[in-house]
Amino acid sequence: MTISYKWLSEYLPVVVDPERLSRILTSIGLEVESLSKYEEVKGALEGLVIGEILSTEKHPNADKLTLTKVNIGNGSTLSIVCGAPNVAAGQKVIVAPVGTTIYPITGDPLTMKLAKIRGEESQGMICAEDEIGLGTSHAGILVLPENVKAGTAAIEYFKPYTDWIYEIGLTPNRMDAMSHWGVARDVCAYLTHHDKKDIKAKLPNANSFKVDNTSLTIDVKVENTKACPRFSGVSIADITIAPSPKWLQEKLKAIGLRPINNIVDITNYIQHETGQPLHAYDSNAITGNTIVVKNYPEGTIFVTLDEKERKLSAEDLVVGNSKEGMCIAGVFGGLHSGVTEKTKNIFLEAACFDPIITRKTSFRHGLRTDAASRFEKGTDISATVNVLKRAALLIKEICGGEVASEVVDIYPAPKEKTQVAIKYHYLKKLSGKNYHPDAVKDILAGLGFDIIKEGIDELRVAVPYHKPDISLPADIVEEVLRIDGLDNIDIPDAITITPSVEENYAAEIYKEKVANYLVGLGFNEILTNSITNSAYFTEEELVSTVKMLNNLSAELNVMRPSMLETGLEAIAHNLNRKNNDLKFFEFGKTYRTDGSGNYQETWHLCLYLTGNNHEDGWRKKSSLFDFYVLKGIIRNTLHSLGLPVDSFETSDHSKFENGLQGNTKGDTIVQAGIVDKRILNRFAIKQPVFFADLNWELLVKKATDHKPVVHEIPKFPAVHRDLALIVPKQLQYEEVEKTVDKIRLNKLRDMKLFDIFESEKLGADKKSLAVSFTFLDEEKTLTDKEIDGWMNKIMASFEKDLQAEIRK
Amino acid sequence: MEQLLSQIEAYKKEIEGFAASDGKAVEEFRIKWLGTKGIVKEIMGEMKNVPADKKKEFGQILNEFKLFTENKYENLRESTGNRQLAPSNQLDLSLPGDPIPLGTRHPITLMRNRIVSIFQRLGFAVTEGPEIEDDWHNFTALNLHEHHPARDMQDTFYVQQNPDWLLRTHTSNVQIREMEKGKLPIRGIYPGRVYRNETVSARSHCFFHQVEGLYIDENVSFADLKQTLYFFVKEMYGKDVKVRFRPSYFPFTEPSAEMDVTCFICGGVGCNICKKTGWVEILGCGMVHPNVLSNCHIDPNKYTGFAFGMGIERPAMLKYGVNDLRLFSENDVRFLKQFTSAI
Repeated sequence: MTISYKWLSEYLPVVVDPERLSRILTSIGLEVESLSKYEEVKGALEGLVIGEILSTEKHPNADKLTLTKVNIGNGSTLSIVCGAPNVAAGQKVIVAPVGTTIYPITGDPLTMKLAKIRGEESQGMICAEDEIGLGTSHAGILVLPENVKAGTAAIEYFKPYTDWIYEIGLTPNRMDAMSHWGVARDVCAYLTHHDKKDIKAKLPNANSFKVDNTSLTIDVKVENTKACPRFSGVSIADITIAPSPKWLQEKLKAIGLRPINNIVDITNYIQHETGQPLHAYDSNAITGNTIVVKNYPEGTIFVTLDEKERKLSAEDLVVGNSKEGMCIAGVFGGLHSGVTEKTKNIFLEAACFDPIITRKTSFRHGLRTDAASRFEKGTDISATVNVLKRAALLIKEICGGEVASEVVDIYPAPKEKTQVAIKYHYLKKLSGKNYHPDAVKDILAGLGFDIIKEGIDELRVAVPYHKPDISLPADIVEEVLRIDGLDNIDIPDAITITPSVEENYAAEIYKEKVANYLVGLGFNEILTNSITNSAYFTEEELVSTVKMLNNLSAELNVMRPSMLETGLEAIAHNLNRKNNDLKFFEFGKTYRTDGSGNYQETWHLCLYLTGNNHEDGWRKKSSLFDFYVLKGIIRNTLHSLGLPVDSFETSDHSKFENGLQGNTKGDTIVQAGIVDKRILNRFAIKQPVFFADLNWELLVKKATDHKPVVHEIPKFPAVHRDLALIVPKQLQYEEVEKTVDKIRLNKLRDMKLFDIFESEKLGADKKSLAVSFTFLDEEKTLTDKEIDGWMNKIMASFEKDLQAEIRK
Repeated sequence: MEQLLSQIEAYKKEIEGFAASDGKAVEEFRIKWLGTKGIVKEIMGEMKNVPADKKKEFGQILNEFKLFTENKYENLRESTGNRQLAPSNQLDLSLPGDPIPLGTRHPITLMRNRIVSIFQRLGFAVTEGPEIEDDWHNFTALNLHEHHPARDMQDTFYVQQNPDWLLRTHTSNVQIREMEKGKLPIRGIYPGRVYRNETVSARSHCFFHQVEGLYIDENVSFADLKQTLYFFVKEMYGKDVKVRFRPSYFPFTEPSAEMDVTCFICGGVGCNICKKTGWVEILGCGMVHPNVLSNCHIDPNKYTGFAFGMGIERPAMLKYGVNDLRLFSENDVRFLKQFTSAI
């Protein structure tokens, strides 16, 4: 909302400078988003002075230039070189002395300097109107009437309109401040409270209003009084439509409104002055001299002012004549009932329309007009008649004419003022500050509340009609705090709290722990959009996918059922920009529904690897990521949560070319694999991507149950033995581990594969595995004999179960 | 035996008298005396010829000799210093270290964690609520009835109608969910992802992140709210930053306020970031609306509380100088890797 400083100041009984006013507005909840200067003439003619040309003389070195002596008052005379053809002695002209900045209509501002023009000194410039922003002519210097006194400041002579303009970020609850009067009322309440003076806004009254005749009496019927609780109007006859006077045009232009004609401008002016929207009908359009406010049948065609045909809803309220609609109530006028240049007689409407109905209609037709936005926030139902009178007086003054009817006022159920009782101790409890009862009463009275009853701890007030949103004691507390200033509530020295026990702490800590580990490995954390494209998923997946009813675009229409695809988008984005080596992790949610109102959100930790493992170094060349890098990271991640995988099995994940799933205590906690090429193709990714999806919720739950306990450090040394075995090439390493597990050697502490070797010598269908075994007894030093015994068992099992040949 | 002893004495004298001028001579000394085929090893080999009863005595003498030789070698090495090594053997320590990879956290996570940790210090417990929410928890219980104009401010994504389910437009839904649990007092901080049906641009996105805070107990006042948020601001932006509270409007708080801090880009003088006002808006806050308490079956006459909410993206943009919101979700590594040292 735009507020003019000059306009507002008319209603303030004291002068408040623009800067202070800006601070006051923000502190009372009318946030000044910007304060800017409005200038009818750019630069506002600052520094320019009116001079009298005393003499002229031809320039000795230039045919088209004239040397002048100009009296600029106070006994000073300037020598100025002038190039205008119309310059002559005795003229009154506008002079820009040295140091003045001028703002031409086109081009950049220019600051006058002492100049030598073809050898002759010039102490300024005699100006043409386009050079100082007063007009567009460059035909010659601007010559003023002879009676103007030399030395007069140009500002004083032209009086260019300037103002300070506040752009206010008005919150939806402040309909009371959607006008200059409303803002003035708030400012006065502030000044009264803070400056300790009784300061009341000076609002124009309409006491001189009188009915001149009743020649244009209009009969008004309101059929839907719920949608239109009050409808007031008055006829004005014999007006002359013309451009508005300068003062009115300037006021409107300053707040960003385009002047149209005197009637339209006055209705706009009154709306911004009082907050009450007005609508003017051409009386000729009021067929039957009757206005009916009602709903029309669904689908009725109505042509609005913008020449668009609109189908009315049965819920749209319409102001019509005896035959047809003239205006969508409180929203937008019709094409055939508005004021035109030919209009002679008008009917002026000031009504109160229901906020919700107006709002629905406004949205239904996409007509977000100023009037609609006011009605939907709630207007002052008590104000209509006074505002009409004020408008009628202004119309008579500016457009001529006579008031040609009594004021019609259909208000079948006058609204009672809401009463609220506020206890002082509640005010103290909610604010944390002790307010003096007198201060509270003054603030509320200043805002228009009536004090109904005063008790020891209680104040009963009646809420003014311009504050329809106030109904609770807390609302009153806000009014008091707002005017007194939130910055005036002292902060207690000591902090008093009731701390909460963190039930969720493990999840946060585990997340940080794992994230830090991954960052240490060189992973970059990503955050991808959980709204994604349904085209990424199969029909089967989409059955349980959460779909958006009002999607932003066809590409953003579902909540992701899996984390893979949005990660692949991030990978594709980077590959397209030649960032080929990527190591990403994301903590994120997937979303599902059973289709009958149940929604499920699940946290995941996902890892994405593609390209090279690390940069080339001078000692160690880079190597491509492969599945085993991913598997090692998963193992460590799970170890850091105390959750070693019990078993890995082949993954049935449909998005993997090849993959494993890891289980812990019967639950699948990780799916890891090489992403299927068909999926990669969809993202135009041409290099392999390795992906792991960890069920983070399950992991945290299990990890929280895990209680690490320290074991005594072994006193006796561990013994290592290596073994090489030749096995069939297709044998899965897992089988080797299982074979050893079966023997149940309780002193075997670790088993590590450290080499895989194939050669012609071994045979095409064979491979050699080198495995190291670690034995440890916590009670004693192991003897060679014991270890040999176990190794023999292992070798025997290998030979028997795996048909392995032991290399000796 | 005697012969061996006198031999050792002779060796000792030779060693004692030996002097080296450079590393080469020291190396020659090492090979001659301490090498694998050196004299010390050879002498030590004589142990096997020593009779059993003399072994202990002789062992000591031999060990002493070995130690003597080794000490001499160490002294020689020290005295010749670096000169001992031929240039070709020297380590070039100016060679680059190994390219050990270093990852990054996402800037939004960094900012989220920073904000959350400050409130954790004040005893707020972290909870994350659902993102897919019903109308009650996102709107109605928060005092935003169906036709409330404030619903205009939040363009909503719907996933189901009758009953309405939607993507939460703010983290305030967690307030309702926590209050409905019926365990008082409540002191919580609720970070998370929220959604708005807005065109994706440098300044707006269809998803972003917020942090919500809530404290409900008997006798919680606006002064307490100010105190908590002052603490937050001083921790977050430094001791010298100035704070301004101004009245505002949220349907779920009454009174409502917004908190500004002096612009940390220009220091309050006025710049483009603060739109020349010298102030930057940080968060919205207020006293929990009595209707909201009642909606959650909390007696507004007994309990009062404060709530606050802030975006994560905006402070992250200001802190790290990010000028385009889309950078946060594009995940371009050239962007992400700039947060190596960020906290």
